[in-house]
Amino acid sequence: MKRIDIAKFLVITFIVISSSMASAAKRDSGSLAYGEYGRPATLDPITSNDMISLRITELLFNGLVGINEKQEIVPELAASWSSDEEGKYYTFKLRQDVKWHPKEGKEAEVFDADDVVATYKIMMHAKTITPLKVRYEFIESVKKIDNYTVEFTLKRPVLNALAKFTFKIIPKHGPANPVYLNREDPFVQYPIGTGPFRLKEVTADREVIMEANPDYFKGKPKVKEFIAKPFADQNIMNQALTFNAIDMIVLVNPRHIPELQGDKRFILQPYNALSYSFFGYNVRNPLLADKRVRRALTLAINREEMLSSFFNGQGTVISGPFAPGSWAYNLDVKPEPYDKSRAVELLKEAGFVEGANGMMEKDGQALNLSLKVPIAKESEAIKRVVLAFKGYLKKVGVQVEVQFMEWQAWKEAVFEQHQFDVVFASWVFDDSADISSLFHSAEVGAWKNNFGGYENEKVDSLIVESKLTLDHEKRRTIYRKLHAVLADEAPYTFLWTLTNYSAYHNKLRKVAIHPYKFFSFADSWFISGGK
Amino acid sequence: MKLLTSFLLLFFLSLNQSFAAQNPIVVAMKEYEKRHYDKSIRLLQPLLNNAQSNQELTRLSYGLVLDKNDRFHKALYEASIESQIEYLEKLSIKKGKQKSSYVNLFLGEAYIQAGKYSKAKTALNKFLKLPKLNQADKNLGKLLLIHADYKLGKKTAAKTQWNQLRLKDVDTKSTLLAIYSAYNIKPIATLMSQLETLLKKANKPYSSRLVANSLAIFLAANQVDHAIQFTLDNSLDVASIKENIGDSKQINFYDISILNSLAELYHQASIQYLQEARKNPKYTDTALFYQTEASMLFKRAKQTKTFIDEFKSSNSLPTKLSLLKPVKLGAVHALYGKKTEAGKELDHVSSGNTSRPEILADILTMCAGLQISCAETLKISVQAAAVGQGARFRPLNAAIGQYFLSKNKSEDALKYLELARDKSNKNKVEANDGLLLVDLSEAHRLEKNYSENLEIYFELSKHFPVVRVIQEAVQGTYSMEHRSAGDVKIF
Repeated sequence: MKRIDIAKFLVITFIVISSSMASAAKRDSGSLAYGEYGRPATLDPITSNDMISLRITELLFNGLVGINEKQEIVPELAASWSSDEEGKYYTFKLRQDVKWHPKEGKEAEVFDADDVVATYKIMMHAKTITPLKVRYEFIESVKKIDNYTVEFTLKRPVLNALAKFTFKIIPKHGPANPVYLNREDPFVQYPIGTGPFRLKEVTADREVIMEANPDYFKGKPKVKEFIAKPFADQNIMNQALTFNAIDMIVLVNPRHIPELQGDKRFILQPYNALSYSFFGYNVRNPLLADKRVRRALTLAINREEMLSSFFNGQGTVISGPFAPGSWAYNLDVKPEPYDKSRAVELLKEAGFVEGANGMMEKDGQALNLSLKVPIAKESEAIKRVVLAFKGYLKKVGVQVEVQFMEWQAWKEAVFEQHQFDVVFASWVFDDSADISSLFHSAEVGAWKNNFGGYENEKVDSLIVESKLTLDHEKRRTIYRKLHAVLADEAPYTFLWTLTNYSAYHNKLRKVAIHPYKFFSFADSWFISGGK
Repeated sequence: MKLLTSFLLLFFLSLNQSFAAQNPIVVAMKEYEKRHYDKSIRLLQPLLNNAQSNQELTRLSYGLVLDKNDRFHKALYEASIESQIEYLEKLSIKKGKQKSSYVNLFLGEAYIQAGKYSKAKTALNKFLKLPKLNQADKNLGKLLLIHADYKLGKKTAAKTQWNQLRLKDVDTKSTLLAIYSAYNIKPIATLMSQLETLLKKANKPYSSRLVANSLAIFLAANQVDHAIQFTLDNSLDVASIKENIGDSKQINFYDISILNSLAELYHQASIQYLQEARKNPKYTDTALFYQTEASMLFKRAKQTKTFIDEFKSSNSLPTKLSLLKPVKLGAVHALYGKKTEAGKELDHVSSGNTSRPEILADILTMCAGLQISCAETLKISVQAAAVGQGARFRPLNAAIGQYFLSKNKSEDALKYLELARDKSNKNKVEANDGLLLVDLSEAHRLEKNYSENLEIYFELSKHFPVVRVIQEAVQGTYSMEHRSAGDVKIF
């Protein structure tokens, strides 16, 4: 059986890589193909909520301002800006030399203040499906002063306000519906932006091909074409890199690092996206509403062992809702060690008893949980993680049914219908480490990030307090408190942060990577002759 | 440094394999190779007075562990000064009702550690002007201000002023005792006795300030074993002050001198134990090599003088160490004000060793450590690193990175330090030299990649809790410096 599996794997690998090689041969030498671990659901910056889409939107769109490698705010679509002393009014003078990518068969339209106003209004519209609303609730209104001037009025001054205006601007003439945006609008699949690259084609295999924008206001990019290639299997993606079928992997599977490290053709570049993996619980299930049960599940699994066995120890176990590289991580909260006995004790305290078959039950109801895992995560290591999870929980009398689902179906089941008991997933944060959309009770609902339905007054009030303060140290203290509370409450079993490396061929030059958005500086990359 | 471990392991393996595997020195040195210095120290300690064990070999091993530990803590101390000042300077300019009271006290102290005494005075005077200071804090501020004056040459006045202070608070009193011990102002026996009284009175866990001061006093009393035991028995990551401002704001302040005290302790202890190891002629030259190197890298001109003549005439060094002998002899000029001569001599050594990455790496390490300009060596090393492959070239890449870092070229430094890193075990101290990790974290901090810096220290903290001093400061800077929109995505 094992031999057949290996043979099958080799045949599939050969076919996939051969087809990639064939398309690689057709590629222009100035094009850059990069491997992604899945297909983007949408390609616009408003409805998307996954990293694959985020990376693409970074190539297609611009914000009013950007953030450079030195963490400085720099002009993008806004040529300059000013604010009042209190920080309630922000006025942006827009560039007058920016054109939208042309719609097929039409002339390129000019970017102006109406686009900025339209973006904000669409983004905040009640019917628009977007995770951005919670982030921009602090904006009271936006006003067009003239064709190239807009003014934002804030409800209150906020920390790092200017950095918030990095949100991407979409054209008012882009969406079919000019009032709100949902996933049915053709714009979300075929967007036009102002960015350094414009969408050329989305192939039947969901390869996204983007070509250099000759009218880009910062100058035509040096790379002629960016191609995002989805790979369901990370082993095959790695093979594709080593066979030169792709030029870059945005996130190398930790198990492939030793191989790539020894190959001088490739450069491994670390970038520290603040991310972590977790098992998230649906507290709408009454059995999971009790924090003792959730804590028991955390204690029942040996995270160190899983990290070591399945990821060669290339990461670190965490204790709460922040990554260890974040300024918000509470260093006093240590990850609870594996303790099967304590897990059983907690389940018993929560009213569970051992049933005849050795499984835990309460009021005659067995603790059977459905675990949903997106298929994009169906790497060998992830399979092992979820199977180990199932195995650990079985030892404390908890039954787990694992279900792998296609990425979009998984998102619908989890974010829209909330049909799950447990999910396995990962969050990635920018430097602000803002967890408000994950745990605030106002963020419970369809397509919102608090998909587990977690509600806690103390957490809510701490989140609100953190939003209101203008004091960095106060916010840091509040986050430390949040970390401690959420570690104790265990709405998730916080697992680990993995090592983040990108790998690329040494023919790529001047590669600076944004730790979160990845392609922010890609307009300056170029391809040399290579070896 | 791995050279000697290999040498020791080979020595034991040649005796008997099963014996070697169980031999506590071998076990300890395996922990040492993983940079688990505390574990290694704990394993070797019982052997130091065990008549059954090979006394000189035990001392050589112990000295070696301490020697590596001292350089690591020295690097941490230097990194802590920079990160602490960066954080506190940013914190000190914050305005508003909830402004920290203690920021200028700790900023002043950090400036003293950095040798910036006038700036220290300005910060401390600001602190002392605050209304409603309690007496203990006021006294601490005053005695630090006097310390800055002392460093600026007003020694007699300073001694008089210190003498006039009436101190009750344990941490403050211990600070004064540590100052007295550093400048031999009072008899060490008296200071030791006063410290013992303070330690009995103090609540555990001791603050980083009390630990730092205690270590400094133990060291002045030449009680290195007691001091080492003190580090093993106490927490090293306890804040000196937790300042609560209102209900929702707490700032943790640490005394960075704890890292200096640890570096000094391990240095002094290593010199002492290596000296004892020299009693056995088999180890004399090897121990002397490490004593000389350590005293040079700690820039102890006087101490180095006591070793250098003997070192020059040493003739039974293991081959790999003897290859590095000309490097030490070239670099030593820098300690006596002849940096140009040192640079020329080292460049000359490198020109004869273009195909030996380990020698080039050693030269650059000395150049970086002693601030010698070694342009020719750098050029040769960069060329060698460009064509070299494999683990053998990692120390060279690390040394090039360290050299660039010493010249404040953090972007260039980062490039080479990343090449030196074992990416399969990115931040693991077991796979990456501790000094490399500290250099990497510093280069990342200077490039404003704060999260990379914090990830490294997060891993290091599992074995060296004292790095909390740095973590808190970098977290603080990062929280103020980052510019981002508050985005989060699933994947």
